[in-house]
Amino acid sequence: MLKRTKIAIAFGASAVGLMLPWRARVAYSEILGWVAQLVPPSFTSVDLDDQDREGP
Amino acid sequence: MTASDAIAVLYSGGTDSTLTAYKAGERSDRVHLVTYRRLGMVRVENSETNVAQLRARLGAERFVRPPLMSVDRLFRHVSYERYLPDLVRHGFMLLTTCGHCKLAMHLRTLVYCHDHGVSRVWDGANQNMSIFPAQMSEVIEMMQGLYALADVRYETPVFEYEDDQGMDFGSALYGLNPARSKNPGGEDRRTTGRELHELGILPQPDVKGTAHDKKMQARCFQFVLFNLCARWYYLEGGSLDRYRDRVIEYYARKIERSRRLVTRFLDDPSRGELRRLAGGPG
Repeated sequence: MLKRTKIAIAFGASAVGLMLPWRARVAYSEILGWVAQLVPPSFTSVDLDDQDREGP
Repeated sequence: MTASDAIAVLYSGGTDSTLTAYKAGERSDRVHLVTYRRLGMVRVENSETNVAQLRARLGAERFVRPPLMSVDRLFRHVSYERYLPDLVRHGFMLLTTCGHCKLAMHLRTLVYCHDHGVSRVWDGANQNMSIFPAQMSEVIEMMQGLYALADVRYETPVFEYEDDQGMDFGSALYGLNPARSKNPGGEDRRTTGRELHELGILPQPDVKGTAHDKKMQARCFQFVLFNLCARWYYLEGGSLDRYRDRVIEYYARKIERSRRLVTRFLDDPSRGELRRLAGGPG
């Protein structure tokens, strides 16, 4: 179920990304980045051991 | 020492490119550390951090530091040329932003080498960053063919190094996938970070993704879209091998088209599309 949800989210987010011109896609990526930070760790299974590692 | 003995290093300021630059400094007394900026990248000037470290160890005069060069127009061209036909044929491959960006940087570097008489290019590509198109050995070979058109040799001296994080680096970014545990192979792995730590350039052997790492190099949020598409769509829904096959097929076409750009540029370096996309001499 989790796997299918991830694929569906990625499909939807990527389909939107494909439709955007250059500058809008840059802004969209940034928004995705900020939204993704709000996703609960229980969904993404991030190791607690690696919590000091940060974004790009 | 002639210009042809010089080495141009695609330099981000991160661990892999810094060790690459150090090795270039051991090999040549003229190393051009070329760093690029574009829309979406922030704090590119952070790349200066380790330039100071390199100069302190091997001599300031050894490292040429051209101004930061924009690859906006090249990146845009690489990302959007023949968009609809590519969309039909390659689908979400058109979102492999990191690969587009690196191809744009390579094209700009080729122009830089031509303008400055440099015949060798090194970068910090590493086998462990295997979801990134430009760090796949097949794509690297294609890039070497592209450079060869201009009699430039492109090499990746840290490609065989191990890595404390490997392809999983970035998997935890913004919580897009499980992160692996740290240092799975123990303390005896031959990594770029460990070698820089032993040289006194890094405070610890594995800094990737840490606050210190962020102070060494630019950040790019477009990585998020690429990561989402590659990890959650291609890898969750298929396999790494299938993903690699698709990447290689897509970049074979991209690089083939780039060859035409380069060929026309070499016919008349002062004019033509590649010169226009690259901007003025760096």
